[in-house]
Amino acid sequence: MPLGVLFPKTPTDVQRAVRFANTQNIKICMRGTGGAAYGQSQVASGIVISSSSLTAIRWTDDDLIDAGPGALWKEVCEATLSRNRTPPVLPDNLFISVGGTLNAAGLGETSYRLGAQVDHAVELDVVTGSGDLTSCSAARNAELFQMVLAGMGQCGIIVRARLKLRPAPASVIVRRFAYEDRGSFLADLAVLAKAEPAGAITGI
Amino acid sequence: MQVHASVAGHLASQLPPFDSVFVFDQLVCRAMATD
Repeated sequence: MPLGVLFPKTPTDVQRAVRFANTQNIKICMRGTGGAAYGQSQVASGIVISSSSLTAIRWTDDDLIDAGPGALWKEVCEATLSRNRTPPVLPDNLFISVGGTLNAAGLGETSYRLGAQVDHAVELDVVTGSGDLTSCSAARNAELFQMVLAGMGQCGIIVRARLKLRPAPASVIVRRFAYEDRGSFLADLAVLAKAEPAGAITGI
Repeated sequence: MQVHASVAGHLASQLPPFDSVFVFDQLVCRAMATD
């Protein structure tokens, strides 16, 4: 169990928490909705920084949006669909946070063509282990950018993510197919994966 | 639990000023200890 929980209103408070933890030699972790698979959002006898208070979503361009790490993908979708845009890749569960999936790569039903969510993050603000607030992208502080994305929260704390968007389809058709044998299922899946127009595919 | 509480008490006395909420409540901490 952690000793305490910070609900930061600003990146500056995240910096303060990191620097304080360094002086006290205690561990910290950032926590979104607590969906980590291996306890990465828990810290015994340390400080949890909850991203649930960093949820701002702000447009920066027609195809770019800034999101706080605690913003849920559902909230991102609501914001982007209002301008007929959508993130290229969405997790199956929209009630998890932007920071959470960017730390874990972020796979979804369009990943077979469009990659992971981290492939569509173009800039991050990160609080480093020393408590510095640094902006990074593929062109600026590239090593930090690459390490933090899908870094499982071990290489810095994301306090803002700039996400690339794409036009949202005006409508979608949902089709479900039931299979009793794996071979047919996989063969059809391979055909669908190459079909145009590209869609979203999931198999249960 | 008593030791844990004293560690938290020490931590509280050392905290820097935050513009945000810092919670020591056991229920909140316990909720943050599950995924």
